[in-house]
Amino acid sequence: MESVSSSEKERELTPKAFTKFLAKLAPDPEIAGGEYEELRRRLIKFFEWRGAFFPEDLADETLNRTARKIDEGEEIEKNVIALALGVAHFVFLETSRRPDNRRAEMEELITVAAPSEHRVEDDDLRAVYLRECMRGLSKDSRELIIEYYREEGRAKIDDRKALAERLGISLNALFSRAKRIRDRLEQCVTRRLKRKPGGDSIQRPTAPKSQVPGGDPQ
Amino acid sequence: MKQTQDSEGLIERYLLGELSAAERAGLENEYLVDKAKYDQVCRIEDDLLDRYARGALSPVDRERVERQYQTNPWRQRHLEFAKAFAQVIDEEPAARSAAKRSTGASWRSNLADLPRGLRGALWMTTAMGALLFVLGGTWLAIETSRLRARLVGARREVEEQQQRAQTQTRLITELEERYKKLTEEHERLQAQLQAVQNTAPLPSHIAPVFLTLSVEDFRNSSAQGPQALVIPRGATDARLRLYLPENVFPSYRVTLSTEDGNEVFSKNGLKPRADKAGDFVIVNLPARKLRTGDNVLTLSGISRAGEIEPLGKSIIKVRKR
Repeated sequence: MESVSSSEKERELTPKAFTKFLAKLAPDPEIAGGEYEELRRRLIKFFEWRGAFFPEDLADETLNRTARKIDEGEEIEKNVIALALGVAHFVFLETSRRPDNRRAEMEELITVAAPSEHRVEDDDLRAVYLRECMRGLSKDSRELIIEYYREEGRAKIDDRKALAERLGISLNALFSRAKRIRDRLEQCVTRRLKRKPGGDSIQRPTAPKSQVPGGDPQ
Repeated sequence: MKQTQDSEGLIERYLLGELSAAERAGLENEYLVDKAKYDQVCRIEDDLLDRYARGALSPVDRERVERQYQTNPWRQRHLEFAKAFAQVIDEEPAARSAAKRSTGASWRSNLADLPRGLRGALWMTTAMGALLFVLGGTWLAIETSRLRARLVGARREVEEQQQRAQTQTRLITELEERYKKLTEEHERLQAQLQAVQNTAPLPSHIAPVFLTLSVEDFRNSSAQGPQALVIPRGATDARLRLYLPENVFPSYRVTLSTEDGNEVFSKNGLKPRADKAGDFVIVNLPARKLRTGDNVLTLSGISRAGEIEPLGKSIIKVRKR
């Protein structure tokens, strides 16, 4: 579904371009770094919700192209994020037309359509690994996600409000905390699944032209 | 409230790929710029996946989720994680209450979490461990029993030795006390004896009573009157010296009789002795044989042939005081 053209890949991101990009996000380099990571997360989700197979790669390509545009002096009409969004739409449209991405999609669909016994074992392992990863959390983090994500029900919203009040934070801040912990747990489980022999991984299309900076999901 | 529900419905349809291109672009522009909107989309997605994982969706909604998430490996990963996440999160409260009821039961749930192969190996290891535990436990029980018996024997022996030692100590103490008492008694008696010897006069009964008579006294007892003999109180012995004008017999005999003629004492084989005053015999007799008043003393000679020849009688007048 997605990949980037060789002409785009050949144009590597220079440190100077990256620094300019960060400066547009925020004057303070440290804050700018945080903004960059936040924008990358949202772009990954954007591509994921669009149904991309390799959202991280596409997010990195979007950020690289945006940085280059800024370095080349392209005028920013609204803000950097709006510019990045425009680039993201273009990257997605561009890569979705490539035939090697369609082939990759078919390969994955075959796997999905016929779950193997191996996949059932992965379900067991996923729970085992998750318990292990949860044991690695601090007591507070563990308590928080258990409280936040526990079983569905009418009282759930009220419980979350009560939890936020108890912690002295807003409901949105509470969700952000819980979501970060959940994402960390998912990454932890994914890493462990990858490490096991014959581990779970998504195969990229074989065409070397599709390779872009960014690598595997971490 | 209705606006919120509409917003959430829109996001849910976006996640399920059911929005128009315009609606989709509008929402994407919004959440990429607005962090709160982005968080809302993420929260609604998590809730949607959690409801799917917990089987809380209608069949239609379930199919919509599967169509969107199971056809993409990246999104399917979230779905699979959501299943594990709901499972683990939901078992936590139960695990906590179970842990409160019995902390010992927690290892079973941990064991159940393991993959089948690993579980089998663990059970095998557990079984081997249990066998070793039983064998080791049996050996330990026997050895412990044997050691206990030896310990009991040793304790009993020690107790007996202690009892013997206590008895001997007690006997030694008693003997020492008796020895001490005897020593004190001995010393006390010695002191008393010494005191008596030093202060008391010689008892009168120890002193013998002496009386010297001659043969003439015997021959002429009626003309001269009786010889007087005073016996002090306590005197036990009387010694009589009888002088002989002619010593012609190898031995002599003395008898003592009452006035009535009853013989109360006799002594044969008295050998004659001599001093400057002449020959004499000594006769010792118990003082108690001499009765207050007149006592008749008879002297006889005994020949070599054993014949007895009377030589005379003398009356002794005894007084006791």
